[in-house]
Amino acid sequence: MRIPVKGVEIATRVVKEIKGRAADQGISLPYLVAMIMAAPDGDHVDIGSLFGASAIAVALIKKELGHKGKVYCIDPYDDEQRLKQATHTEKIEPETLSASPEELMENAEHFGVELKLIHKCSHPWPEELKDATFVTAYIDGDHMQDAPWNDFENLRGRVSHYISCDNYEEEYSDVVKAMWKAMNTDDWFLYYKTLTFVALRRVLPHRSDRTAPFSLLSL
Amino acid sequence: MSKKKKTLNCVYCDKTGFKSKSAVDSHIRSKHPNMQIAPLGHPEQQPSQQVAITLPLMEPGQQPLECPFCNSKTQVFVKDDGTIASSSEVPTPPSSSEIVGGKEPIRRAEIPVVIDERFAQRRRPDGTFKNTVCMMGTHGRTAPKMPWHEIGIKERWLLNDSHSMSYVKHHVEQGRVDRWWQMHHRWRFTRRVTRHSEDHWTWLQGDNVPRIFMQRKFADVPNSEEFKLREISEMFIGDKLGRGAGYVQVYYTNTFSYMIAQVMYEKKMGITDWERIEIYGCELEQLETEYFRQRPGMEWWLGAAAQMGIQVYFPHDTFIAYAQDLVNTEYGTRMVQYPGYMAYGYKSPSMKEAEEQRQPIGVDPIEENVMGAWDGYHRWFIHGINEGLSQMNRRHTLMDFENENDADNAWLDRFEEDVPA
Repeated sequence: MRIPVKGVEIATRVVKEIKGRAADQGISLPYLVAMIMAAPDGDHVDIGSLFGASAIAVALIKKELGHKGKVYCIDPYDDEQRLKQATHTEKIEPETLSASPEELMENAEHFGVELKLIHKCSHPWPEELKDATFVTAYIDGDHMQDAPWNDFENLRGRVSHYISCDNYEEEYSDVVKAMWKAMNTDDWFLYYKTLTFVALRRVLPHRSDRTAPFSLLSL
Repeated sequence: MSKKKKTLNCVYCDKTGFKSKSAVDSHIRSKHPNMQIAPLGHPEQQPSQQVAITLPLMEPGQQPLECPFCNSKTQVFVKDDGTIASSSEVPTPPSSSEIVGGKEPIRRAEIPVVIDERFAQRRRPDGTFKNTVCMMGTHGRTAPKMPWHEIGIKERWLLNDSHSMSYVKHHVEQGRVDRWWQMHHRWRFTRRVTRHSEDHWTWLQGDNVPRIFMQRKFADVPNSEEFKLREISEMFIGDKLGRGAGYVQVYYTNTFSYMIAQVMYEKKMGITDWERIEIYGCELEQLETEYFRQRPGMEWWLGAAAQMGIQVYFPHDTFIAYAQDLVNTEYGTRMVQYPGYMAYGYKSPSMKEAEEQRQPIGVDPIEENVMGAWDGYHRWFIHGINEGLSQMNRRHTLMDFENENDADNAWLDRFEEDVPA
């Protein structure tokens, strides 16, 4: 996977200027931006948006490249749930997780991008997005038990290009289990894995199919 | 030396000396009219009817065998002790979820940019999804493109014995098929070993799919429903397809024809307002049976459905609803799509072809291919390649990599500073 200079620039700016916390100091942002750059026009959905670092980075690169499409954020902003996530690992201080929808929108305004907030849990899938389809998705919501797999299940049939997920690491075994299972389904495959970031792509036709000389004659 | 011929005996009166089974039957009819003809006597009563056959040593499991009596090819299940299992002893094949370490089915799917377009085509102007039915046949060219998980699909319909195909089985087991179609005769679907399944007949009788459409409701297929042949034929063919002194009565040249007719019937009757049909795994390219016999009727129904306002969709490389040609290749004769014949006259026969064949050329040869491009047909898709992969593989210089690596390393250096030595 190629990490574009632009992706690093955007990540640096987001981490410096965002009000609140960017997950793991934004370490995954350049890899998320690289994935968005590889996708065409279309909507993106971000699960677990918190202060909005990842969603804003996506919106910025889409704007930079002139890619059409909205950026949706799904987050219940449930303090109790966030606390559970925080106590799972010592490295997150609970007070850094108390984000609010207002802070998300303030950050979006600061960076000059538009985000569509669905103030709900990602599972069951929000009714507002029942018929919505996306070109890309980023999962960074509830990391425990069935939640990462449920997020993938909710996305697999409505995302056309890439589904990514943060915290694919030893500390989050449920995330690892869900993504491992996801990349072995009959419709999704591993795209790339960098540090704690993992991206899945659609299973593609065989390369031999795509280049078959007899599939179409140019007559 | 003459060989002594075996004779048969009557199991009711112990009379011996019959030279054939028909002679025994005739004797029973005349002398024992109240008894069964050719009774299934105990082996001790009819030792002469026991036949011992020595078969070649075979590995346990399903094995092909040529019947020693009629020479037809069949399949048997060989038990661990080397004997052949009776039908009740044949183990039920495990479901795909039970197979551990089994051969992984090859994964294939549709190109992401096409999936985007499928989503877009399935939408009504208000953004909601049309009532779409996806149908799947068994041709490997496009069957793997079936959208098993995509949203915006109301029902999925499959047919025949495809439930046992490696990349279909688990979808059926997980309840992703809404209707099944088995429109063949009973003698055909009750066969044990079919093309894709070891026991299609048992499967049909189970509760695997909620609705199974057949020629009639069969008592031993609990989920079967009758295809309303006469009602549907009178509705859509009736006085619409004249021939000679009358009208064509039926024109269903393959199972898809019935499936499309059913969609039209349900729309007309207000049962379901179907708006779109997607067809995968149906090519009808095999010349003798499929191309010549099966394709005409199906294409007629496709046209009728489209005229009724039902959108019809195929993967871009499907042969159906497209002009074809045959080309000779090093692998033999192959069928190919022939875009030039999609607008006969405008595009073909071309002057170039005529010149090559030394045919006479008239005046105004420059008036060739005047169709041009039409606005709004930008979605027409020819060579599908993954845009993402295409971008990843785009041409670049080593300097690009150097710049990118420098930026990436500078980014990662920030995090290393935080790590205690």
